[in-house]
Amino acid sequence: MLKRLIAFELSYHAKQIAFWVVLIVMALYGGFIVIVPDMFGSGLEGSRLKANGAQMIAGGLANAYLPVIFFGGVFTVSGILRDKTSKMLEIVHATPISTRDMTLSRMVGIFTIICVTFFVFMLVQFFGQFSPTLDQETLGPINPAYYIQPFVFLTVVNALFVTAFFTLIAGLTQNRMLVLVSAIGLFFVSIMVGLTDLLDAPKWIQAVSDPFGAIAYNLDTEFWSPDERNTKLVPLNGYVGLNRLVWTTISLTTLALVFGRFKRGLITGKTKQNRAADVMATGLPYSSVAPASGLRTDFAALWARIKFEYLTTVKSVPFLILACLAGALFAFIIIISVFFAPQKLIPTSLIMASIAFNPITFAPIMILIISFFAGEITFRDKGAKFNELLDSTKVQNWPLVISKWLALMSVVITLCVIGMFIAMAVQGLTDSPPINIGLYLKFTFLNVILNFLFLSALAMGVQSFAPNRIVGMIAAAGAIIILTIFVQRLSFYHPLMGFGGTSPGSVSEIAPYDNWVQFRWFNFYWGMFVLALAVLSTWLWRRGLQTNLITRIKTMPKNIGVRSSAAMALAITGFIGSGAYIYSAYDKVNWNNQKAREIRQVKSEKLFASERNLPRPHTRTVKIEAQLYPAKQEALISGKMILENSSGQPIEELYVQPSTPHRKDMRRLTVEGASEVMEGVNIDGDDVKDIRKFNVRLFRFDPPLPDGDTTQLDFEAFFHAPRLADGSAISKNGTFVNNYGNFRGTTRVIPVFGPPDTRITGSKKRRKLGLEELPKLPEPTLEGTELNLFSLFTGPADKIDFEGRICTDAQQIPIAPGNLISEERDGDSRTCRTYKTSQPISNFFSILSGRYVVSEDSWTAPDGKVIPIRVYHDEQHDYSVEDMITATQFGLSYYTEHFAPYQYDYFRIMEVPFIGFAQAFAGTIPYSESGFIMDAGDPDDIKTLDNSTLTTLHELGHQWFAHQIVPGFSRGFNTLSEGLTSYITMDAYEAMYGWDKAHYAIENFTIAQMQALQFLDREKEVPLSKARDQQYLVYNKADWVLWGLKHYIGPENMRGAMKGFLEDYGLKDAPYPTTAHVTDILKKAAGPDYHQLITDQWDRMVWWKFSYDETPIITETADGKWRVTVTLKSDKDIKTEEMKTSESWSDLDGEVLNEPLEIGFYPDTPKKLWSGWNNLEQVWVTQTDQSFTFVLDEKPAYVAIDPRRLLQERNVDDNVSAAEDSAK
Amino acid sequence: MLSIKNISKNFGRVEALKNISLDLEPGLFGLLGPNGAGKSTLMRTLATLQDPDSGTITLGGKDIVKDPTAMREVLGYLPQDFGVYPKMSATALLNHIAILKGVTNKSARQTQIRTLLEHVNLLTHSSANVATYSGGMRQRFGVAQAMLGDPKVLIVDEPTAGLDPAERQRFLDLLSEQAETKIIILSTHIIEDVRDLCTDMAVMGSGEIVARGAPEALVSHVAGQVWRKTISKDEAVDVKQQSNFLSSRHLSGGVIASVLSKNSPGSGWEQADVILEDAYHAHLNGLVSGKPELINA
Repeated sequence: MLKRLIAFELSYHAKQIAFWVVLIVMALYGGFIVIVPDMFGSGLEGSRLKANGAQMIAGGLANAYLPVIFFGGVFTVSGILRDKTSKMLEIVHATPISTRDMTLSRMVGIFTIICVTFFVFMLVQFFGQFSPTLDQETLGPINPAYYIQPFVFLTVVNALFVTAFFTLIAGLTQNRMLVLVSAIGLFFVSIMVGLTDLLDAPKWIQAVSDPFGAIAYNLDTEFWSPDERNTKLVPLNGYVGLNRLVWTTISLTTLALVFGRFKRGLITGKTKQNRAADVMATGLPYSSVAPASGLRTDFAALWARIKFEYLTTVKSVPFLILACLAGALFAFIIIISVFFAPQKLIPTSLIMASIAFNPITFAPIMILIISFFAGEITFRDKGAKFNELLDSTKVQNWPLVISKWLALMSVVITLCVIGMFIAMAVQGLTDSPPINIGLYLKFTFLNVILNFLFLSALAMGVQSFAPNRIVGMIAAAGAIIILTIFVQRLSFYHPLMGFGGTSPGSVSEIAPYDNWVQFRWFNFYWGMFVLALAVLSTWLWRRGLQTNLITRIKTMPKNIGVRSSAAMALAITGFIGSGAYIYSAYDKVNWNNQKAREIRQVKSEKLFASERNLPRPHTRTVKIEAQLYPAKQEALISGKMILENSSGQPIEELYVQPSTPHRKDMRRLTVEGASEVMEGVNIDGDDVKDIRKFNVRLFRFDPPLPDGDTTQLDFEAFFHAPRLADGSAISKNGTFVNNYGNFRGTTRVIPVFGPPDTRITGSKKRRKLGLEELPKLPEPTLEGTELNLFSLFTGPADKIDFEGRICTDAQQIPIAPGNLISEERDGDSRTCRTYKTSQPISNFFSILSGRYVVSEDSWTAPDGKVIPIRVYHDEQHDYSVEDMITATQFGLSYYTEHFAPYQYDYFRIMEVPFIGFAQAFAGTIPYSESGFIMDAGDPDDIKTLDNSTLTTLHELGHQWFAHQIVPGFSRGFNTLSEGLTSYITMDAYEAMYGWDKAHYAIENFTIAQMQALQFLDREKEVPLSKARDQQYLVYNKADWVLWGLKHYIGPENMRGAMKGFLEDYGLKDAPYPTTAHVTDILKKAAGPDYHQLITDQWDRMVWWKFSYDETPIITETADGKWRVTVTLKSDKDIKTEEMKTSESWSDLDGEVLNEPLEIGFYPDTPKKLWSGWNNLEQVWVTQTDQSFTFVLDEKPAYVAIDPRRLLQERNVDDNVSAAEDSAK
Repeated sequence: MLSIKNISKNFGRVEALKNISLDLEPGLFGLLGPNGAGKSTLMRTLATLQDPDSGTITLGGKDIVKDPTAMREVLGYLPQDFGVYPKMSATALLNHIAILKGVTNKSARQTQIRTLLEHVNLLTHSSANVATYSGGMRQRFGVAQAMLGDPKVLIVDEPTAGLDPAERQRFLDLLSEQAETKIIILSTHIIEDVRDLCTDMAVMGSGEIVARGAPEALVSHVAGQVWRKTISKDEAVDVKQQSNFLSSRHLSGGVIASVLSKNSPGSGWEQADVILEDAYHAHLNGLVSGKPELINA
């Protein structure tokens, strides 16, 4: 019997449209992941992680729990609850089939089809790897086990769990909506358990708490090397095994529970008691009431329907459950962020709103809720079987349709406002700045709700075409994801294709929105689209009983009335008209899609191949006159630059990239002794007309500029207010512009020399476009380089003299590098300041203007010179100012004492809205608004991070490493500036807060970040000394290895090395130093014992592995001391740039093991940070298996390997061991 | 006038309506027919819930297939089977439907709702959720909502199903009162409903109108031709095979069979007083023709 029932279940599911939709969706998704990874893949595959490697496959399956949840829910509805929806319940449940057989067969059916769906998903991926179109560099060896093993242990168990879970809910409630709601709930829970690591929960709790095994999988593999990730199957004796065991048990127990609890027969709710019969009959005869007609009646119906649809939704059990879950999730995220994160927050309104509406957690929730309620609201009448009554009334289609749309939108607004109130409530509960209601409203309505309203409209529009609510829900969620995420990855993507609402810009507490033009046009454009969709939905509305799409399309003409036609005509005209206008606006500024951009980049690369090597003059002097008009968001910036030909040969042609791409706005651009070439060919024979297409101008010297001569460049450029396709360089408050290029949204306003360098850098993309590997920068050598780091951005220059007269609206303060020479005020309208450098600076400067208050202090140098410290900030944003000043004073003293004197006469920090970083210019530091809203935390609590101090120390540190030591133009230049700065920052931080707190920062930020970020890099691994801009290398690894070496050779020794380096190369022109100089001075300071270590850390990719071969043994000596024998197993994985995979030292010729290693001995269980040792000993590890014996005064209970994290070891979870008494 | 001309409706291969034509004036029109005869299909088509595949339906000269609003403006419709929104009281739901029907005047609406609730005997349950009503109560609610506003055409599909005798009578009285000014189409398979109330009726079978006329006229077609006899169950088997068989019912262990015959079918058969039920079966089984055109002929 059971067999037949199961066979029936399977054939039943195979006939369901939802099953085929799901199957096709998953098959397509599986195919797309492999074939079009740039659009649908994880974006991680490349030279390092292979697209068909074990981790990419298993990780993909582990993280695909969202479809498992929702398809499980959908299948459960059709598998378990079909009796009720098809009104077969009384018949089926009255048959003699046992409840067990009935339930079991249905669960087997659901479980099987989930597995089938995902098997197909996996199968398509497996066969996809054979596609000839794939980039072979991203593929590794083919191994079916990479697919089958995670399928069995992740997907199959997950399918079992969701089957058990949903069957239980369905069996207990017989309520379709509650099953779907519990699916969304399960997703919420999975988000919440994903946050348990923020609570610092033990790993096994994190692993077990996730029903789908994704966290466990990440924990098991977090310390794996790239090779392991590509080839190793997840072990079943780790966290995944534990997790699977627990959740299989829970699933089976739930299944058992289902048998017992499955409610057979009808479930009837309580009947509301009728009110007592206190109503007296009047005996009046029935009389008809003539109905009204016309627009007023339609609006009355619309209003009645909106009230009804909205109130019915928000009073429904699903809404209450989802709102509570969403509220709990909001609160959970906010509370974790405010109270548990190591970086203590100051909960200002901006911070709270940003956390509450963090798109990573908030957007998926809202998309699910929108898709769910769009289905419920659309099909509400049919679901209640009220449709015949409703449809026979005279009400027009449009009030029925529009009320449903508006009801969903109101639901969305309700949820977002609840989120807003939760954020406000938490802010109110904390010792916080006052609640800024205006900011909350701005953020909530313009930056959050607006977009979700558009998505709601889309979901409702999709439902108009769907055959039923479930297919509609899947299609709506799919449409939202495709139109908002995937469409942007299309190579022909145009902003016109980005569906949804546009905010007027980012939110700031100090600056108003900065682009209302874009806001108006894009929202109008999509608004018209939504209007057209709404009218179409009205025309296609399911009225009556024949509601399949084809019939509705056939009968549509009779729904088309004059008014709706007019609305449609308006919508289409508005949509096309505004679209055309937007398109032309983008076209006017030569906007290119990705494909066109790449074609242009390739052309530019070829066109300027030889020109890039032409001699260029050096900038010697820059004089700027900047008139900023923040209120209008406009500026006029002019200036003169003295250029010197120090190239050793005459310069015939000079390329200048203007400060603005708009030709008309570049009002003056002349080079003395040269004239602009408008046509003909350049010295290389390239057509000048082609050259000019790349926003670069060619000047020809006649006669050529001789070596040693100077020339003058004059320029004047206008910077416009925000335009539709082109934002403004100028903010209403907190403008920050510079001379070095578009960096993270900032704007270059000064011309630079040389042909444009827009070469494509991603090697995968280069292979795809048939380009050769990008030539590397020169190798770092002890000879140094002629050009420095800044020439990469601003053209050749050594140190320059800078003078800037910056004028702005009178309420603002203009700022530039240099000493303040003069200040002029023109009544209440304008203020001007002139800055001039008293000592040359790098050719790297910025101009700022903001409505600031100035917090002032000073620092006195050892020679008695007083350096004023000024922090320019918004009046309300004084939270971190004191910490910044203290850090500056401390840093100035510390760096001056240990490294070299500070070189400028001033130090300024300026608050800038809309950026997410701080940057070091000569003595001036533009610093993000968020940096001004930081809580330093308890100085004695090592588990807090004082980020504003760290960042201030870092940017101050750049005054030494970047501005005194200017890195040479060679591979590894970023390591030289960012790496050494990170190191001295941590050195100062340690001096300020003590070793434990610095160690916490190293462990939890530097090392953790490095481990996490390294796998996001798709390029081939490079050693630290040759890193380009990889954050995990130039900041994190450099910080880590220098931290280690400092502890091995002693801080004084290290500081001495840095001091010597600054003496040799600081504040000097060419030759500029490279990372070869760094390793050289480190080796000299450390001595020959450490040469191998420094080579391993800087010039190769090396990871160490240590573990206990045997438990440490303690023996008491005759003199009452303690002999401890520690037997270690040691290994070292080595990779060089030339090697494809890393290999153990023992497998390589000529390698010896000679590693410094610290071993700590503890009286008690070491805390997580392993401080509190009684003894810390250093040994040299020379063999794979090696015993070390120590004689200690105090008896240790525990031993830890490398407790100070001095060596690069991925997994240190096994580095602590209890010591055993030899007597035992 | 509601004029139905040659409408047909197929669902796949099933011919639900075959070339139906009817002209209806104000009054109570009964539509009798067995299950599956096409009554509900016809009602739904008239209620503009589905379009006929061919043919026209006009109301006061307006084609309601092309312009369904012309019908909806004046329609009161009680479907055979309907649900209600959960958690809404009768008053709230009637209020909601009334607004959708264009009854925007609040006090007039409230008065009408109250009167209607009184007429369908739901006044004391007016604040209870309709979703919790018993079948009969819900049916009465259905009647009330159909009467909201000022319906000129009332289409009620098996309205008395599930009503107890007293409520059924109350409802039929209410309908009768309205029959003077409204076209009321009452579909049922309860012959007494039609017999007692309708001045005009049709019998539907297999998607066709097999008879049309006043109940008395239909009865007159078979007057003097109906014979009855109490027979055993075994005999009944044979009688049911006869081509002139009309109907049978069990009574006290025997079976009373009715046949149609101009002359006495044999011994023991007694000529019976013709009731509408006999006429219904005679027309439905094709023993007499009552199609309008034939009658006219």
